[in-house]
Amino acid sequence: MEYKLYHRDTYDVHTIKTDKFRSCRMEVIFRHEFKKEDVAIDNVLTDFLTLTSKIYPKRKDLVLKLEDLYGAFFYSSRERIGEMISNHFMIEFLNPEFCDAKNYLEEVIKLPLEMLLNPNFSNAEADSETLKVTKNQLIAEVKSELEDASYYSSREAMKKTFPHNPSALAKIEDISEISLINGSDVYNYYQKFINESLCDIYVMGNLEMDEVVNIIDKNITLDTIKSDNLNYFVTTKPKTKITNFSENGNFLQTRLVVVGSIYPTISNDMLYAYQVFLTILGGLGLSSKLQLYLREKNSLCYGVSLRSNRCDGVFNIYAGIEEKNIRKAINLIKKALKEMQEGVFTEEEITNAKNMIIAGSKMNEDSEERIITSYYLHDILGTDLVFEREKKIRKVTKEEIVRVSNLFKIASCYVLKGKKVKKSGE
Amino acid sequence: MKELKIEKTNEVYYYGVSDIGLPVYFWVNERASNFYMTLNVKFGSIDTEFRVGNNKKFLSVPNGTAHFLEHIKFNMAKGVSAFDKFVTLGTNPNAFTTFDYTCYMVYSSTKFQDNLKLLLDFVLNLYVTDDLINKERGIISEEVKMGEDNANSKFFYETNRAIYKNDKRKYEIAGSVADVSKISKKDIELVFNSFYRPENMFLVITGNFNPYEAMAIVNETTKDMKFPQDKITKKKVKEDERVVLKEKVIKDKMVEIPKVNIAYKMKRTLFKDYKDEELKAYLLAILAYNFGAISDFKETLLKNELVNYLSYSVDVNADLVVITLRSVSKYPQEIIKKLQKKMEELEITDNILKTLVKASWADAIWAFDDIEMINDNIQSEILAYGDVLTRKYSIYKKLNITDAAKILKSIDLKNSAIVVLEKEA
Repeated sequence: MEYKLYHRDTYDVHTIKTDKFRSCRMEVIFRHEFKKEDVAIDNVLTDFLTLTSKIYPKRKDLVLKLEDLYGAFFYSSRERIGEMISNHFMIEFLNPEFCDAKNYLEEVIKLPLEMLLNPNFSNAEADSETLKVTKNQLIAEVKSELEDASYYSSREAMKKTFPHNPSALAKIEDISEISLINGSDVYNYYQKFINESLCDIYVMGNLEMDEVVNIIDKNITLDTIKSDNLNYFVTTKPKTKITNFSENGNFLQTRLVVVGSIYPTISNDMLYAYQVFLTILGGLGLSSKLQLYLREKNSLCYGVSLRSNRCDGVFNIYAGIEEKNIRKAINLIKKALKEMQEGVFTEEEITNAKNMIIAGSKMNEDSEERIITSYYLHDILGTDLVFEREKKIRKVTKEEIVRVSNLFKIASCYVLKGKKVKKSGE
Repeated sequence: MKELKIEKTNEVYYYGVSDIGLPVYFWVNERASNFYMTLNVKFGSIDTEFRVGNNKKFLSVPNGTAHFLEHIKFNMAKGVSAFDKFVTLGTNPNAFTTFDYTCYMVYSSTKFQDNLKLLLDFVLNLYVTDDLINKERGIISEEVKMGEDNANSKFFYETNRAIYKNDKRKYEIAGSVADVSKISKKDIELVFNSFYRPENMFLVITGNFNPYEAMAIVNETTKDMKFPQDKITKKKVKEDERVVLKEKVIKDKMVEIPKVNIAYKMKRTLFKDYKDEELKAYLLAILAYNFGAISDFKETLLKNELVNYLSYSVDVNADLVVITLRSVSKYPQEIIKKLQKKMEELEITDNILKTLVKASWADAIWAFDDIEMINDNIQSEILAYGDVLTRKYSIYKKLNITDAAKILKSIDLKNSAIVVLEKEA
């Protein structure tokens, strides 16, 4: 695997040459500051740019072009790290050696650049028909998220506990935030987006990378030189006491979410101790402390999930549990965390957790997407590449794990009470 | 072992039958860092009635038994679970149950031999006690309740109940809480002894490993294992081509935007000139052109805000073909009319068929980057067609507009079920 950086004034191209895959991947990433007030419009713009451009005004035009490029995929996603949001535009395509089309490489590399840099705007407004479809689909997505008890309860728990944390602010709550957006808003936000965002392009595959970069250079038009002053870590101070929240839900099953802070911020040199801690507590399959206490020993739930975000300084523990068992479940969660903080775990658990993390890291080696993510995080956060982690994971000590454990403090227990839904119809 | 060459690629599957009669399928990818092994049992949630040996009487077990057994299987001895053992290998195993089969899977990069031995050991041996049954009953009941809280899952089964009269696909894979409460240790032992036998299972391993070493490990690990020999006959369910309910409206508080499914049920014999895999390819191409991302019809519906989401699926089995259109729409009655009308006017062009064929073939090559996808493809092909498809290229290449038009004409729309899920006020 051969990595090379092509630095340009207004963007960087990172190439990773490998013959490991038959497909290739190009990812165009724009990074900028996360702002609560921009969440809806940033979502709308990302989707709009994925659906339409001047050359491919209709979704159908784009899909037919992609099918013709041997079923290439073009799609987008948004990722947030601390107070930074990044918009990712990906094209996955077959290695040209499997295609007999002329100019295939050039066409496939040009396509995402065309979509991003030649958007379907007229008279300083976004194309109204595509914008309508974009907004409509986004509204449906936001509404369908509310049908998901896990999503809904986790979001509410975070909002009530740490209302100013980006974890609580990053979601669209009111659909009017979307419906009020007009074509000129999208046009104006795009100008800001393109002029203020840092741009990185990652290309991976068995390709002549100088040729690829040449095609990119010829087809990219970004004018503004920017510097990286983005804040990737948020400080979340612990609460002095645990608060209990409870509300009635529309779901049958009661949901419990325990939310907490991680303070001070976990630095890169503590990263592997942090991962081992999380794995022993919640990531060792059914052998983790949380699964063992809540599911295996007490049959309280089907599963318990631990989610932690070191950049936001928050964590949550989620489970679907009968209301009468909530108190018992909370006590077991507290017991599991306390045991970690007091070092009540064995060398065997540490070794198992390390093996599990190393195996997980190896899984990343078979995915172009995850290898690019590893390079991207290495570039912005300074974390190790997938191939460099094993030795450092092996070196983690019990003392380091205990030290990390003590940075975790429970702040709240949120209960979304289940309800018997009256059935009708038929 | 036989080498099965995959047409128009440089790929080879290894196929063999182990000493105890277990069919094995291997695909080696030396560029991969990992391996993925699945041990599959042709026993799913619909297999609740069966005959053992020459007994005339069919035995039956409650709905959800296959899934319950999947949970129980991870226990290996008193206080010892397969999870505990896999964890020491750095592996997190998993399993799932579908209507048709149960799959146990392991994904890892090291300790190939230990992982394979353990997978065979825990799946092929049963350890069950009344205490374990009670423990799992509580866990599974919570899992069932989670499913009842999922609007999409609920809607899926409600649609099946409108389509199928006798077919067990109308029941939830995990069963209901009441079903789960009825499942006993005796039921678990009965289904394990009946279905967890080498000839009713298959092993698929994909990734970076030596296939000959893998076969040797299978033979060594299983050499002392004994399995019952009596014949098992699954009860065949005769399903009528008529739907159960023409129209059905369900209301639920958790639904935010109404959902509409329309299912068309027709006899398989309408398409008797075509093999299952051909028929499926043609029907999917026709539906892609009329309802997919390249369809003008879908684009118009989206622009007029008549749908937020539209997809389709095709199920082909020995007796029936079921085409299902799935949509999310604020205007259920309008969308029903539009979809019904479009189904009466289905079309396909030669150019589009060629483009879709090209993209499908690219997908098939692409899959060889992904050890999980190839493993999944092998599982699906064995279950659907009884064997792996080594001549996919020929299937795609053969697709032509004349046959597409013939299939299009044969589609019978008279038996349809409309199911609407709306928000309860």
